[in-house]
Amino acid sequence: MNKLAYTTLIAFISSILTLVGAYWLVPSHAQSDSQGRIISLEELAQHNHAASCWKVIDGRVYDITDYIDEHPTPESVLTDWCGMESTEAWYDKGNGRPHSPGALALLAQFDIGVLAGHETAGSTTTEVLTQVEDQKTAKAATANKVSELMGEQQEMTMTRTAQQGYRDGSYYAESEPDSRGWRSLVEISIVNSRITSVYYDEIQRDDEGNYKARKSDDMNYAERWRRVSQISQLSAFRGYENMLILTGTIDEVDALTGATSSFESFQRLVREALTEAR
Amino acid sequence: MIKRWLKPGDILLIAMVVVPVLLIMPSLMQEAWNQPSGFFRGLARLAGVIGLSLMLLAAMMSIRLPYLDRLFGGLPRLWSQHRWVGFLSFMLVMLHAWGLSFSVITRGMEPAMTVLFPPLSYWPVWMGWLALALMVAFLGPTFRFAGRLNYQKWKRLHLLSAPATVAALAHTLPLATYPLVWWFLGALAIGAVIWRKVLSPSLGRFEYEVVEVNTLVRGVVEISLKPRGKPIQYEAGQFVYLTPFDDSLSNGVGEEHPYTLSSAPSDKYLKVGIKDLGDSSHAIQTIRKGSRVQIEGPYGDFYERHYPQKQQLWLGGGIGITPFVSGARDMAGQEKPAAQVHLFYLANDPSRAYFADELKEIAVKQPTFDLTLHLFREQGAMTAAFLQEHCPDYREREIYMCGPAPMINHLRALLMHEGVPASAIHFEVFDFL
Ligand SMILES: Cc1cc2nc3c(=O)[nH]c(=O)nc-3n(C[C@H](O)[C@H](O)[C@H](O)COP(=O)(O)OP(=O)(O)OC[C@H]3O[C@@H](n4cnc5c(N)ncnc54)[C@H](O)[C@@H]3O)c2cc1C
Repeated sequence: MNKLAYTTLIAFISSILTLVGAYWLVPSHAQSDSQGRIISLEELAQHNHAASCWKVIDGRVYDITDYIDEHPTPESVLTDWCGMESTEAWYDKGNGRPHSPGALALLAQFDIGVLAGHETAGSTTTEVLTQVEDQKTAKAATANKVSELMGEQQEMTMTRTAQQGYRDGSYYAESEPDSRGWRSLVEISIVNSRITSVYYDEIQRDDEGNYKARKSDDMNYAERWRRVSQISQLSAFRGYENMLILTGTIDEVDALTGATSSFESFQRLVREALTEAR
Repeated sequence: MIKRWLKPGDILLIAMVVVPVLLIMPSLMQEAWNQPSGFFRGLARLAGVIGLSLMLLAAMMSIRLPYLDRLFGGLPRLWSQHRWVGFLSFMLVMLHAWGLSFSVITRGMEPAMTVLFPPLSYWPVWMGWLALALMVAFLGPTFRFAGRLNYQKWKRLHLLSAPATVAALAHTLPLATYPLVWWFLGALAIGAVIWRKVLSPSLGRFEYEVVEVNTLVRGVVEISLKPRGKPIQYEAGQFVYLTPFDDSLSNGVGEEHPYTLSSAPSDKYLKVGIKDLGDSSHAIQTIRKGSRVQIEGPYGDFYERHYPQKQQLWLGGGIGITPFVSGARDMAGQEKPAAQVHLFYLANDPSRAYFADELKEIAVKQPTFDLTLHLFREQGAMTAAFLQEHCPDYREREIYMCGPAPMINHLRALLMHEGVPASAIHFEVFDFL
């Protein structure tokens, strides 16, 4: 027993040292692995379901598909954010608490690349996360987090947003019903002159104007829509919301193929809502 | 039959490991089947789960509650299990760290390194490292990585197991899927250590006073102890931890050591026969009458019966005669002892058979108790023929042995060779390491 314990300890230490040694000696690690693949918003938006779930946290893209089953919360909590910017959800699990540091180490394993526009956000998960930690302590305002962590290009966009001079606050716009009674609505929150969160949906109201239904809830509708155009309102709405947050201006938001009429409503309503913010 | 190998307490010990494993299993299986690297990661996590369970178990096993140890076949058996449990835990914890890192090495060295050495802010991982480092520190001497350590130093160093356990819990609780299990097991483990190290010295010990110190031969004394308060209740063959508080002792004041009670349970005083085997047992040879000692116990299940209908064969040598002195004194006071007993007293020469006179007297008075002296200097090592000559049915008896390790090894081999089933042989060596 004594010998075995000793031998195993030596073997353990040697293999860890080998790993550390190899890591430092192989010069490629710094460059080759640093950024990973650059992933566009469009590509990200396609991986918006449980069978292939990508998420953006602090500018890096993670393929967490394999992890969904393991995650302690119900699956939907996780899958709702597939294909999207999830930084906020990462720092606030819903109870005001961030994910555990250990979970971050786990996350590193799912790192598949960097989101387009974030190439300078930090080279590796570890480094990004270190920066995040530093910034977290430096600045407490969680609402700022998303934008703070973005790369230069993003900063520029943000500056532009700021220059456009939005006032802080929440802005709401709702359209008249279309021929089948659907109204579009959008709500936008601005903090520190930046768009930090967006909600878009299409709803129906009864004759008295009371809320009846919303499309983002209607899975049958989503199925029908998917049959004709591969994408449904479920991800399209979220996609538009995310693009607006990430780019900071409606001019930079592109229509998703198959969801163009929603895009038009979205564009119109965002412009309408933001006129109040000037 | 199975009861001979598996004690009731063992079931409890096994459950403490099986429950956390069963809880984590579904999530591990999912991970293992769904992910390419999941299989190894699952194994590594499983190693972590079992490793921590065992570590907590080892801590719980150190509680050393009197009487309770009999559920586990006595304290000596529990100690050797403790040692195995600790050993396995150590191996699994290394496998855990190694496996986690190497399960992601296919994704590159970056993730493999991140898993092991994340930024400092991911403190739970570093807590894991701290726990492992502490483990190496206190297990190193246990497994004699660098030679043998003085017993007291070893014991003090082994206390590092407490912070190691806390660090291991701090590593696991934030990451665990079912933290409640770990809170529960962790509380039991830490509770056990707190009882042993903090509470038991004041709550678990009995006050006694030395009333007689009888030098049997050079280097062996028998001490009689009178209770100052409530006396302990014990059975023949059990041992206690004795802590002397005689300031004139050159060594071992306030230090606890295990000694077998040589008195019969019905005797007025507790008696211990102590042989000079090291610093404190040397010093105690001159302990003063009237000085205070503390007693904790009793422990052990020396005369545990596997075959209650069988007659008994006792083989005692050196200071290992003490449990048999207790057993014989116990029989001396009984009208109808439970079993016929034949004691072989193994000694170098007559002068070293320091309990022989008293034992002979008991043999004369008590017809169910026989005594044979075996002198190494005259007769050499014990043989089957010698046993056969003095105790023809020795193969059919339930056998109890106590003495130096070489003697035990020799006798065990001899008896097994003569066809005595292992389950009929009980033995105790006065040395835990
Ligand atoms: C179940 C049991 C019953 C015993 N009964 C008797 C008895 O009746 N009479 C007798 O003379 N001796 C008995 N011993 C042995 C006695 O405990 C040791 O000789 C004594 O503790 C030695 O201490 P030391 O400081 O003199 O020697 P050290 O030089 O410190 O140790 C010598 C060896 O004794 C063992 N030892 C020391 N301290 C302890 C301890 N606290 N716990 C366990 N082992 C220790 C170690 O293996 C060590 O290598 C018994 C031991 C055990 C385990």
